Amino acid sequence: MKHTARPLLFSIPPLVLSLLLSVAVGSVFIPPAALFHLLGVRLAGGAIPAEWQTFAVILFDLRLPRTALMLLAGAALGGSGAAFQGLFRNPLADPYLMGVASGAGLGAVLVLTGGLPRTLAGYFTVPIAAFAGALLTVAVVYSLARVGRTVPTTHLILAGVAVSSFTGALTSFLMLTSTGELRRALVWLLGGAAIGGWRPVWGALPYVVAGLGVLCTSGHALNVFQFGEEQAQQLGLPVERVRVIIIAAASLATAAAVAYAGIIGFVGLIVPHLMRFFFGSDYRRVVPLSVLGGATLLLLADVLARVVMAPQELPVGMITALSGAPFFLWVLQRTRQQVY
Amino acid sequence: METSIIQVQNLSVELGNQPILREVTFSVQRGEILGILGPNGAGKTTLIRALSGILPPAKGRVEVMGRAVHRLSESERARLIAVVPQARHLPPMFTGREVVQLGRTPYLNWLGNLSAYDRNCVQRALERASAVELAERQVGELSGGEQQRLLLARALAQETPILLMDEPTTHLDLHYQISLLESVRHLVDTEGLTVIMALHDLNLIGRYADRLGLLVEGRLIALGTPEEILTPDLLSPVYRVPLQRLSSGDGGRPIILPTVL
Repeated sequence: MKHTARPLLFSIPPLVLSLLLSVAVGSVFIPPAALFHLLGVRLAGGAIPAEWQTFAVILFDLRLPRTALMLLAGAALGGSGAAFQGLFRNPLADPYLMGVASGAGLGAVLVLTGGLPRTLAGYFTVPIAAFAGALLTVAVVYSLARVGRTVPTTHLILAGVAVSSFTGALTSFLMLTSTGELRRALVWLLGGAAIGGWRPVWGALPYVVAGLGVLCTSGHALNVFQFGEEQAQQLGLPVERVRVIIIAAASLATAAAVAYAGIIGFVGLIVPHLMRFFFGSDYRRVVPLSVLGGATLLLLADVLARVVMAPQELPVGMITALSGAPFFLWVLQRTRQQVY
Repeated sequence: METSIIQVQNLSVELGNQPILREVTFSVQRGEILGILGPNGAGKTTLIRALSGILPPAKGRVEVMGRAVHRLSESERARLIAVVPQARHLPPMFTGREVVQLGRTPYLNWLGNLSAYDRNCVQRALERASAVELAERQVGELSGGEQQRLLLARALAQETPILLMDEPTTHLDLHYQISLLESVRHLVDTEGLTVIMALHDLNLIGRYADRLGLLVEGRLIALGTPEEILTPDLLSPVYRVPLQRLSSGDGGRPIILPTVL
């Protein structure tokens, strides 16, 4: 890990900038002076000046929790995207394209429409259901796409698309037949932090931290995987066990992001590519940098979602798809030319 | 007294219920090169994979230093046996040194941090495989022969007593074929490594191996010195081509050629 200083230098300032933008920008703009003053006062435990009372409410009850949630979701999607791409040696592997996100969505909706979330304990079971859905999906997609010992790019995407449509249809069915609040679920599915407040942040935090903690240390194993499963095994890597660990960790992080921030596509696809492009393909660097980059990208997308049609907000998943889909086609083009 | 380091007894291997190897039995002595020949589809690659422990035997056993290979964990195996695969589809963005460092995997923890000893080992492996000048270059810009040297270095970094090589010269031109096999021969002679190598080229393998095994339809039908194995009587029916044998000019190993040449 000798050359980590430079990549970090390039990754952290944009993240800080996007964090500041995310708390400052929206239907009400909070000027930097007020922003820093309020943060200082809150940290010091002092009294908030009367003229900034509105700003304080917006900042502490709306912007900060939303920013924190987007930070977690983006980090989870970026990190698990990098891990999936490394594990399957497939540049198009992404929690969204592989159907893992929609599988997680189905799990979450099953619990949501089942009426469980009305209790606090039920609320925190959403990510567990999402995790189960994600794991099941990844297992189905992987076994459908596998040809002998390889997982061809196109097979993985086709299987992902098919399974994703299937689980998506089941999810829609559940939502239409449920008596719950349909609009909220719909906004959530399109990737909007519809449920405000700090609860989703605390709900997602432990799962994202646990999942990403494992993934960030798995760089060496992912490097060995780049030579194919057979060579990885001959190099002494317990391939089966490592694969299960990495899939479980990536699915856990994805599931937590989906459970509280909705289905947000393409972050896990774009970010690892950018990181490999700029900083090389050593996964000991790619995974942690994709965690930072995923957070940055999703925060910026969320800011865009708030300002493009202000005062109306767009679902952030729409923004990531608008920028991500063309990127996907470009990557597809590159894989055909065997550049990966 | 001879010490046999690998013992293969009655080894049968199936792939998808299809028998590929049938009751193969042989043993290999420490410090020798055993060449495996045979026509396409005879099971050479399957034999190498079974010896490396990644294909379980349907019947019989493979023992390395008295231990059944397929019962060992991956990392235990990778400390006994290193495999030099064909140089194909290597990840292009790694540097040569990074590739060779992965040879230390069986000795590393989950994080893969290298100790000073590991780094030293990698450097020595690069030197022994004559790959030092490739260390800081990216794999994607190397020729097939150079990539093959890196894979040899990676296997040497594993510090195993045994090397398995599956058609290591397939994509190489004549210069690289000879230089790679010269390196392997030198390592065997100076360091007492044991090598099992599958190779298509009868004359190359005949020149560098101590003994040859002839694999046909999954059976080991002959095992002996190159002098004994490289005969038209034995090989012509196997390759379904009339063959002739010439003796090389310096009175060395025999040379086998199709009679049409």
